[in-house]
Amino acid sequence: MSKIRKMIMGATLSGVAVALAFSPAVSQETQKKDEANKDRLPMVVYDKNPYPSTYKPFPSVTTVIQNATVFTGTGEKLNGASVLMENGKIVAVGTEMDVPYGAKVIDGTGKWVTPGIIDVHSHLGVYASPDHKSLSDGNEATQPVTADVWAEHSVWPQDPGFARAIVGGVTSLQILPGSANLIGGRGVTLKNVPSRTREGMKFPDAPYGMKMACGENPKRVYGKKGGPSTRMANMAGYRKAWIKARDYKQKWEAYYRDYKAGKDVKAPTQDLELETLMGVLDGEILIHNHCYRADEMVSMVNMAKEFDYKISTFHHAVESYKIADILAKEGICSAMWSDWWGFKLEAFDGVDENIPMVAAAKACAVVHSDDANGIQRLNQEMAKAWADGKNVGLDFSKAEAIQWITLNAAKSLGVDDKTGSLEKGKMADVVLWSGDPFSVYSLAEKVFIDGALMYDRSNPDTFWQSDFEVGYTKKGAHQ
Amino acid sequence: MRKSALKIALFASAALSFSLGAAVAETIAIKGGTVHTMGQKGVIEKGIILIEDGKIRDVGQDISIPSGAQVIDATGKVVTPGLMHGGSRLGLSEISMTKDSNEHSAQGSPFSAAFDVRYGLKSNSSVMADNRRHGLTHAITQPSGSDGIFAGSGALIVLTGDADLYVAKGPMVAKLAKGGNRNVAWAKLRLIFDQVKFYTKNRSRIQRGEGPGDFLLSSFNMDALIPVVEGKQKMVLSVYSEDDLRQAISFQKETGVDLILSGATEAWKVADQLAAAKIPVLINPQSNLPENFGEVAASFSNAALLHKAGVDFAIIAGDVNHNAHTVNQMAGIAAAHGLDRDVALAAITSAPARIFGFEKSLGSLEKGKTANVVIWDGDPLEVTTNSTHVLVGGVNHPLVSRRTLLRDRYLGLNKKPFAYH
Repeated sequence: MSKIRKMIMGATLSGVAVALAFSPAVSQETQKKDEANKDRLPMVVYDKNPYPSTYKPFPSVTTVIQNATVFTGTGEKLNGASVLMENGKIVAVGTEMDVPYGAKVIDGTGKWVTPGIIDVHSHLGVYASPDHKSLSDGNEATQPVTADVWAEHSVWPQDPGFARAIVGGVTSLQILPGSANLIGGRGVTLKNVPSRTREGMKFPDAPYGMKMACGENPKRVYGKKGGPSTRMANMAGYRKAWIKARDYKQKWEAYYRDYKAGKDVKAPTQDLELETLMGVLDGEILIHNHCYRADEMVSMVNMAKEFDYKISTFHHAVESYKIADILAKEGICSAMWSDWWGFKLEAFDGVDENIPMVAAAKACAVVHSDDANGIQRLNQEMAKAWADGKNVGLDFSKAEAIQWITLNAAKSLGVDDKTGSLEKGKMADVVLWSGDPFSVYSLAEKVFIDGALMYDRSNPDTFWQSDFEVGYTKKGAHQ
Repeated sequence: MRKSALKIALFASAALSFSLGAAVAETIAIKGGTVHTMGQKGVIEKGIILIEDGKIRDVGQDISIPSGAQVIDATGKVVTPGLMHGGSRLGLSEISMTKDSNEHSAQGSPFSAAFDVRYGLKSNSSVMADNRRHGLTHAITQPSGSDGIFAGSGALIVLTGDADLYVAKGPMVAKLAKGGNRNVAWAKLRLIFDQVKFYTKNRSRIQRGEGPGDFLLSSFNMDALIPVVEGKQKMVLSVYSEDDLRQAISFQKETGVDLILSGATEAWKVADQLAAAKIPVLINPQSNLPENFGEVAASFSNAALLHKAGVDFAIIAGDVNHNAHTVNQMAGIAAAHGLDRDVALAAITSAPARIFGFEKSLGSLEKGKTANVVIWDGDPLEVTTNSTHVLVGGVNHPLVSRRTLLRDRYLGLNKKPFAYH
């Protein structure tokens, strides 16, 4: 019972107000009403965020990077521009800027600045290094639907992979549960910072994501464990889950309606699995759908219409180029590799131009890693896709292409109002590159998260070493 | 006029070679590019490469081009030898997760050392065609494993797309990790070498049933190891940790085996010893994660530090099949972390050819060598560079693969009604 928050809400309570139930102000107000309605059972409202973020930005100083080539993440490139960060926020970006007195000034001559890189598909922490069974916590492959599991409860904050990723300019990332299951559970969006706890990494107020997987993986894993063993059974499995979720949602809606009408009603029993699914139906949890083939993606779109939910992003999506127009129309992002293909049959039709072809159709294109190595050079993966597009006449500017690993990724995660571009008021998640980030030779020199200098290639004191590595290697020896 | 006629001729030969998987080598001159010969002549600006009958006839600045030769204008472009992956699975696997398209493992069979990849090579693999268009022209293709330490013999293949792809027998492949714990594995490896020596001397007696019957390997697997034990066939041993690298150096001294070490994540820690022992290594420069307790010192600096110490090394990609061609990106990563760019380019062209013993015919643009040549639209180590021409054995292959054909079906999808054209 300790994790359940019960309180009496007034007759004017709406479904939306339920979401605000954990705000202290609302609690006080409702407690007053509690007094006034002593004889009624309290209305049951479960905390939707029982493990809230405790992330606090690291200390920062007012900093300006001057005279750099700046990709803003909004599609613009500014030459000889400055970026001003103050109190953890982007304050100004432009070619003419007054530098506040006492600000730390970094000379960006000959260097490039981009927004922090965001990886929408990572298993850092849940499939940690070292690659050991004991640390393999990313796939609850025990039944096809495990919407009740939350990746954050598997995240090991000491995975050395986080420290490697920041050297590659990654400032935020979504950790997803694995892809064995039709519905794998909740993902979690993190700020890429050292922390003793997973809550200390959680991106404040980022919406939850829910992982679904199409195709071969569920077939392979459950084919000999009672199914699904076919794509049609995959589909049946998702639909059965959504039917249950719809029913659960209706029960809660009826409960709130009746309670508000003054009836003496009993709340439905909390069901962790259905709670997550209901969150999707309510539009609060974003769908991250691992799906390779075009035909399967369209089936998933149709299913989303059947049950009235929205798909945020197809992940892996190697065949998005075949249906880029449909994805544009539906407003669904595709998170893709630049060149991975053929490792399984459903990846056999992967083409190098997938990402630019999706972008050319004006659909939301994102480059993702799904890999502890790939996450360290998402800029190179983006650059390869950009060059492949150029090779076939899909001539995006570099300023547009950088969005595939910044603003579009933030959109996919529902945090584009907070990060993903260098715009006034956004989190000061910023990377200073030694050169053009489209070059294999360029390295991140400085990485700022919420304005705090979290990695500085020239200062070993800033190197992040996980507990696991202590005593084995010197800080930064992996560089 | 001549230029357009040439274009048509090129296209026709390209289409033919794709549809029939065969193309005719002819006289070709590549002119105007910056030629990285990776040989004695170094870098030649505005160089000319003359190719005849699949071989390089000459390289230089003042070379007369015979009339009737196909001329490829490489002005403003970069010309290099074809790229090589020194530890691939090419031709042995179409899709790693479909059982019926994989021929790379002896697991579940009585074969270990006797496994030989040449019987299962697939010449018209879409994977090879795609790697070729990205500039990979030849490779060591090798077995992935068996139920023991020895995985079998690899092969040198050339990515012609034809049945003539097999060129020569490659190294014996051995994986220490398949031998049990490290004590067991090293003991086994030493014991097997001793037993093979004994077996070689007493072969006919043993085969008559008069010898000891307690060999670790069966006779046909020991037969395959005779050239290895005698130092006539190279052996690639996968080892990662500093301790195993030291053990490997000792083992080489004891046995005289012609050793190449692969993986070698912590090699930078024993770079001087490797250099002194003249043992070459194959490394993947992006390995910087402590994948296990034997790789805690994994570092981006591995390549640069090995070079500084004078170790002979080649760069391989972690992807051994579909994206084996990304050896150039891997070389670029090594260069970004302190390795000289010319050395990085050598590590994916001339160095692997030399390390595997094929430097007489491959790895550089020099007179008499096989004409495996790539023309690039920029720095070959850059991720934004594309190949514009790929010649394998003097044949100018079109930059076409199953994947480019698929791409072309869908390019401009919204500009025309959908059809499978």
